[in-house]
Amino acid sequence: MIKLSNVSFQYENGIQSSGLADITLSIERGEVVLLCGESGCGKTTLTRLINGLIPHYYSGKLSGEILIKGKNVSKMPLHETSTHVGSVFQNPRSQFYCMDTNSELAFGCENQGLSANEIIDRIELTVSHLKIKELMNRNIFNLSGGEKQKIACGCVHTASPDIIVLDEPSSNLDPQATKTLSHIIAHWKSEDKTVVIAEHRLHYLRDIADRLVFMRNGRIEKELSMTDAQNLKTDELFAMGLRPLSLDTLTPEKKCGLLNPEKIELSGFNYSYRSGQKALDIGSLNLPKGHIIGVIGNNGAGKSTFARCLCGLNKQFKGEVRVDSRTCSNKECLENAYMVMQDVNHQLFTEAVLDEVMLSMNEENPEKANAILESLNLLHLQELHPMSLSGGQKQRVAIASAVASERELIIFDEPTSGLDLRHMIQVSEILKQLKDMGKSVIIITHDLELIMRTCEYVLHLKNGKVHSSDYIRNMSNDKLLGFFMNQKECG
Amino acid sequence: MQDGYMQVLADKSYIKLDPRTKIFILLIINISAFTVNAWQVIALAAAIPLSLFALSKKYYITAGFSALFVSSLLLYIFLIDTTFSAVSIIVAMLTGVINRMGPGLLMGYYLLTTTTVSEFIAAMEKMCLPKQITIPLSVMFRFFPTIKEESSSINDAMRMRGISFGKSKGSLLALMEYRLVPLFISCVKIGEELSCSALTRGLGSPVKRTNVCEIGFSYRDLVYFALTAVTLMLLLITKRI
Repeated sequence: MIKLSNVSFQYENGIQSSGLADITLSIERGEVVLLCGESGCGKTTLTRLINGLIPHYYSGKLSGEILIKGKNVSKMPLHETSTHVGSVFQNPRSQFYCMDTNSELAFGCENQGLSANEIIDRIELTVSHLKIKELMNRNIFNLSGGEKQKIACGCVHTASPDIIVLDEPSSNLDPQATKTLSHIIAHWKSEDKTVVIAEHRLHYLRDIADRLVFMRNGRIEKELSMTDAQNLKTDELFAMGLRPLSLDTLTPEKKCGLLNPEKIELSGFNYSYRSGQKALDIGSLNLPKGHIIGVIGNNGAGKSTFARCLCGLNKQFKGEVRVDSRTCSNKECLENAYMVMQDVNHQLFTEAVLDEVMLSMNEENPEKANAILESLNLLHLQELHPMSLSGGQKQRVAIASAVASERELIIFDEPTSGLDLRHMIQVSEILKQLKDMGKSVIIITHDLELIMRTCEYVLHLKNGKVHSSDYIRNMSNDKLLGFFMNQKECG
Repeated sequence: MQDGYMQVLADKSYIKLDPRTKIFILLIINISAFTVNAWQVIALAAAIPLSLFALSKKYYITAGFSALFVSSLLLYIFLIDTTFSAVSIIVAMLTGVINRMGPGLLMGYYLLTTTTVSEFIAAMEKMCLPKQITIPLSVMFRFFPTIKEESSSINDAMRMRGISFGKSKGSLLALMEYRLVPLFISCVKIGEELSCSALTRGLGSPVKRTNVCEIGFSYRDLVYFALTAVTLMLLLITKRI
């Protein structure tokens, strides 16, 4: 079905270092192949070769031959490739052309010029196969990340190509949506589609994938059947820089250190959207101060609203946060908490890393700023423009400005979405570092590994209410794992 | 149609017009707003979008903007000619902005909230415009909500970091920069990813596109075409004089 022989590629601008060198790979019809490896190893580049974006959209130096169903992709115009290969991308925010779900599903078929009746039949089939009836007739901008990704899969399903390429599709998904995604992929497999997935999170594909292709520095280093892959020991996976293939072996890291008896007291944590729909209904809650607290729950459980309320970003919010017998009203919360956003591009404003840190200080103090940069391994970048840095470096700049603001509460929104093992560990070390500085750290996350590595306390939200809230050491492992593994498929 | 799958409107609470009618109205309103001084034409231009909102039962918007337009028109007609002072210059500027930009903005808002991208593309193709115009315009169309979304996240980040007007950190110029630079960067990135996705779904294929959504003229379109044509005629007459 797909045949790559001696393919090498180098991006034209050279900034994206993740080129490919001498790739030879053949994939049979009906196979599900998992591409994995550290960030920058070339998995995304490989997917772009298959869907034709290379060389037609991203230009560069390409050699070798890429055949799909016996035809050379690099010589075929993109619109022709699009009838054979469907793609799902990482960012659910930026892969929709229309603004409503129905037209979105029709879009690919409309471009192929199929008849209107046929398109409608196909859409109905997609709706019943993927169980997305409740998502029809909706505005794309009102959907959650998981729902958007479902629609993205639906678009591919409607166009019904033989080959489907997914590039880190689960990065922004909660456990429930990830589960649904794995069902969709299994469905494609049952229809004898050829599926290629580039991914960091492997566990949800454990029982679906046929083959695991491990890449490093633009080369294929290992090809394993899934049975062999499952037999890899934890430390072998670790050495390859891969996330675990199953979650049930994870246990919380032993943390020494005393529990801090001081508390962050939250009261009046109720919030409704303008539509009147209740988003948060907590009332009062005590969280331990000076610890790393994980907030878990599915999309729509109120996690983001909770974080926004803590930061004082919801204008109508009436609740209070009490730390050290000092009570902060909503407005004062703005000066008490700092959120490192999921998309850090939104919160970096200045022209140089050093300025960025100074901007957060009440009085500019270059020495102190340098010390903070040093502690986060950013000192050598201080002159550079924040936007020229890599994703991980940008995140560290945002963290540096959080530290510089001297706020007690630092909130992270999905700090490890789409990160490989090495970068995830890097982030978890920084989180611990922040805790050692005496900060209270709150992490909103779907990443069980990160929780196991860092968190001492877990707050589980469900339908806007507290489902459970306790120290990890008091929780049974099964209870925590249960949330991540025993998700019922929704819809 | 089966199950009514394809009968989508971005916001169903509004009355429906064909996208071509809406584009035509928007065009004429904007031309008249910037070329004429006759208050009759301006009033008519404002009345068209207002009547659309009224027919859609958006009474608050209708009443609010009617009051705004009427008072600013009255001020424009009676104050400007009788007095001449610094105050009247300010009033003239203010009413000028409201009278000239208001109707167009209101119509633009109506167009954006009631038209889906696919309807827009269908309309453009029925007018036989080439792909080179249709595709960029439809992308622009789609980008407004994205800009709104991105801009509100940036606004949150600014509030959280305590950057706002009036504080030592915020000169007006710096504030503009802080707001616009991240916005541009986000939009460029989203635009790039968007084109990738659209291309892998066959946009730009030489095959004749199907349009599943149905657009077509109704008696309402006829009425509004007539109204707009009257505006256009008035415009031409006043220009001639």
